Amino acid sequence: MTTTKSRTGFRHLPWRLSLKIFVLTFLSFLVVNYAIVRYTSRQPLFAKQNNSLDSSIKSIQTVLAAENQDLQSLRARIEEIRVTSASQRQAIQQVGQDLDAAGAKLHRASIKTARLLDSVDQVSRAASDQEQTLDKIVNELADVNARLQQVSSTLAQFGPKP
Amino acid sequence: MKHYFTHRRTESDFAALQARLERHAEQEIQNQLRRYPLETEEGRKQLEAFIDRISDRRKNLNIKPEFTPQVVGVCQQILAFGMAGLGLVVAFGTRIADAAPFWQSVIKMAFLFALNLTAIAFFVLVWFFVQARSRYPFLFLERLGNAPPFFYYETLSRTWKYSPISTVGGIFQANQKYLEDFTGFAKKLVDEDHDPIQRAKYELQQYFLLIVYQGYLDQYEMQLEHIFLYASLSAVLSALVIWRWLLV
Repeated sequence: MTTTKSRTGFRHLPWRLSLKIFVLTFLSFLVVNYAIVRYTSRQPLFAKQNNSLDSSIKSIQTVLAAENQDLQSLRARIEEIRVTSASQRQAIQQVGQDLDAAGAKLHRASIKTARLLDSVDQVSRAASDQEQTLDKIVNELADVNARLQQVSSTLAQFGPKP
Repeated sequence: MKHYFTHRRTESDFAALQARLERHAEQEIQNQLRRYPLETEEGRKQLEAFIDRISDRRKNLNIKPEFTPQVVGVCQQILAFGMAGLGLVVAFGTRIADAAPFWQSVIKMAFLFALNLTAIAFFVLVWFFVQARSRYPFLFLERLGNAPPFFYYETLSRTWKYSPISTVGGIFQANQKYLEDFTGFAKKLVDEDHDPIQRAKYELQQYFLLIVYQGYLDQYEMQLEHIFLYASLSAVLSALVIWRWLLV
């Protein structure tokens, strides 16, 4: 509680602003920041570009830019092919659908043809049956005719004369 | 302090020494208070007036921090923004290379400054919590710390368990202590009321303790403010120096 005086003439104050403390703090921060920058300069974030490497880096960048351009044109070409192939795929699908429809029609036609063939066969069988019947009738008529001639000749020999 | 001990000091040594010093100080305070002539009516009135005066002064003491909340609040915001900034750097760090060399160096300086400020804010906050743990050394005093009528640390026994888990046994023990302490508290207050010297001692004791506490608050506040002031200015200047020196 006594009023002790410091060398500057004012009373002691525990947290009085001090240039010495400020300079010490500043130097501490400077050292720490210097260490951080030196350490992190090996990392990409703080890496400073070296002049001797500038030309090679620029050439690499140029090559990369050209390759990038090529890649972009290739990508455009691939896109174009993709679009073309998509339209072709659509056309092929349409053709496939048409073929499916034609196949269905052919199937139906084939069924009808088979039915027609069946009916033609039946007609043919009926015709041949009738032909056989006619042949039989012709044969029988021939027999009858032959018998009639025999009868006629017999009558001519033994019958009444005019 | 060294001359008190001839061997390696332990906590019990310090506690015994503290008890001796406390008894001596208490005796001194009692002697001072007995300077009031209590055998006369005038002396008793003087002591009562002294008690009232000390009580008024104690009530009027300013014991609230002035700018600690501001410093702590600023540090909280810096810490939050600093962490967000670090996240942004991690996310977009690779794009820095696309900027012009000058702006790259500016970005690096800003990153360095933000890193410094974030570290300062973190340190200030940690230091604030360390301060919060160390501003009540008088709680370890046996007789001249907080006066029993004013603060629960002296009103209640120190064996209270402030457990949030409420069991049947725990409730019973808490209430047992409550009743014991209440009985002792009532006796202490009635004794005090019959003993003006004791009352004056309690008032004096609490008044002085609050002044000491005010000192802790103010000095710790100044500590925080100075740490932040020196460190943030140093961070700005050192980031600028490093920028001109190494980054541009």
